[in-house]
Amino acid sequence: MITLKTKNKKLNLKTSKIFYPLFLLTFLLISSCGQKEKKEEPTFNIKTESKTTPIAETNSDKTQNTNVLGKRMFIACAACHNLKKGEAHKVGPNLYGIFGKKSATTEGFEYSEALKASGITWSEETIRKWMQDPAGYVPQTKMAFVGIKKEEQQTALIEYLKEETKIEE
Amino acid sequence: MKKQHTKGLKNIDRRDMLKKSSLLLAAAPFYFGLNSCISGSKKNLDADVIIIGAGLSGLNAALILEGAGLKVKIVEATDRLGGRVHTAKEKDVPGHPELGANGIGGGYARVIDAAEKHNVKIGSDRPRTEARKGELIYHIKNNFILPENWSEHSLNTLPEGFRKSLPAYTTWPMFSKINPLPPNDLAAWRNPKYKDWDKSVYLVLKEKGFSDDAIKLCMGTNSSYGVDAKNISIMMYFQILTWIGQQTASNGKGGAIVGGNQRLPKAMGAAFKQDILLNSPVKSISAEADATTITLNNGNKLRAPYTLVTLPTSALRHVSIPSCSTENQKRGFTNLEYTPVVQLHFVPTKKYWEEDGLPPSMWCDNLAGRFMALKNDIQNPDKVTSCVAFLNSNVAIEVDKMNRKDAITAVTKVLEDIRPSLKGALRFTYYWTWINNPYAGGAYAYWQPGQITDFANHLAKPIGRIHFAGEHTAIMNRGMEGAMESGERAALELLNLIG
Repeated sequence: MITLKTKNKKLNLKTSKIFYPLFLLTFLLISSCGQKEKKEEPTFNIKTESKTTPIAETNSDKTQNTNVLGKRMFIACAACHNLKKGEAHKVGPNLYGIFGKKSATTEGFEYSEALKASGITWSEETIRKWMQDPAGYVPQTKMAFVGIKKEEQQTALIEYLKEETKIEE
Repeated sequence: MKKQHTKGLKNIDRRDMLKKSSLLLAAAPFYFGLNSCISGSKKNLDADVIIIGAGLSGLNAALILEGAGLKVKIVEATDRLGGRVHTAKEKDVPGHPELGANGIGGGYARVIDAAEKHNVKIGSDRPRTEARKGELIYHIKNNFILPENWSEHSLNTLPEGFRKSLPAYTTWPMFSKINPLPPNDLAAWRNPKYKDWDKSVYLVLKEKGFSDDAIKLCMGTNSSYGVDAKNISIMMYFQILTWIGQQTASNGKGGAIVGGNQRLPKAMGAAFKQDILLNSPVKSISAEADATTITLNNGNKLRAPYTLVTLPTSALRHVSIPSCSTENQKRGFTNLEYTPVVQLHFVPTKKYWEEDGLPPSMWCDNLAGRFMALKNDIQNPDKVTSCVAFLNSNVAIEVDKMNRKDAITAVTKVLEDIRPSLKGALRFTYYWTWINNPYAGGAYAYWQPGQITDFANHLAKPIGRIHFAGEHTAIMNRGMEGAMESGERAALELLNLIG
């Protein structure tokens, strides 16, 4: 990785000196014809080609949790929920240490009466039911979530949550 | 002026691109190398996913897919990001009111989260003119009626039990009482279990003893949804009511984006690292076994394994696409309509309301529509910064058919005729239509009787490798949050396919 990056940087310097003016010229030429259509073509051809590879690489580098499907499914939860200790509540509560916890007991979040009265303790089983259809499991909950219906997706998300909300020692 | 703006955007794009081009070149040999190892055919692909439309749904999907490491390209027909999120420019209308999406509810989780993530501030909701004492006067059948005098007025043809409510608010409490959907169950409106309620508002009001005149008062004038009581399903009102209930219960802090809602899509576009092609209307989309090809109006073609279409059905109707996945979907794409909205913006040159002692805003059953005095100066909250004749339903359609000059003259004449103090008091400044706009065709989708049952659950079905998002495909939410929800849903759908 590192050598490649340094290599690229060197390459970058060399090539840019040659190509920069060339590109500039191309663009000046193209824009001077005044044709919108042609103007746009180089934009996408050049811009995209280079990019995906680095993005994909950095992502996989950073990922600690190797549960790809679980991480992906959490995209549907992320607007409402933080997972780490001390992070703020969003439209939904922070889920740090959720497994084993009684429902509607995290401090600083205003839960619906329905969830307060539900008597649920969050376990793999109850969380599975909940993520499948919150409004069906606890009618009148505030949580607006369409639900995850596929079992393998539920399982992956549960595993992901277990890992990410684990109480720090 | 408009051209200047376009130019500005392009210049930035070009500069930005030039800046990055050296980096691109450096990485290019590696990319090509890797690519040719994997598959020869992939070389002809322009992206992993092409997204059509740079509104909130397209941008949200794009950011999610990019975050997962995919190569994404957005094509947008206009010169602007945001679609139906559109804030007027200060030079066009002082106070830059919203031309499109307005309020952000407390349950707009994705919008609130995106604003936070992209450093866009949510402030208090913009003050709106409501039908309360001193703020607004009704103008019905050529009579001015103050809200406080409505219940006893001879033109009040509302049935017993409803006479005290103002026309704009009459139906809501009653609809709320008969709403069969469980509280906070936001997906229930699409459940076939309730399909008997997928009938016209007109039928329900008739059953409740409303005369045709009373129905016209409540639903035929300045109705925010659809065109009239006969062509809108009461299920849509039930959905809206259930959703408002959930929004109210929610813990988030809504309001409006400081400086205008358009700052959100702009910030999302800036956060997106890959290409957005502006001014690139799509002519056709085709799907083969292993890829999709989109052809732009300018003849350019783009190929990708998947295409995500976020266009409203009204705009999609101008695009050639392969056969629909179901007959229901086809009917949906053909028939789902959008609420007609036209706005004429004015700057008041004098305080006409002081001259005649009447409230500054008017609710009219004529070409003036909802004539609202807007107060959009945060430093000076009592100052009327602009006025808008906000036209809905048939009135909007009628005005939008005229040529621009005639439309402005006609609306101004009506205003001056009904209220002499407005003579010479208004300087016209901006006309905005959501109808006569090939990329919108209306402000937001509305459901006619039977349509929810027929095709609501079919609109987002992929046609081969072509996927669909957009406000009209949202299940749980409406407006901006609905758009965001649909983009998220589609992005996950694609990620689960791509792996």
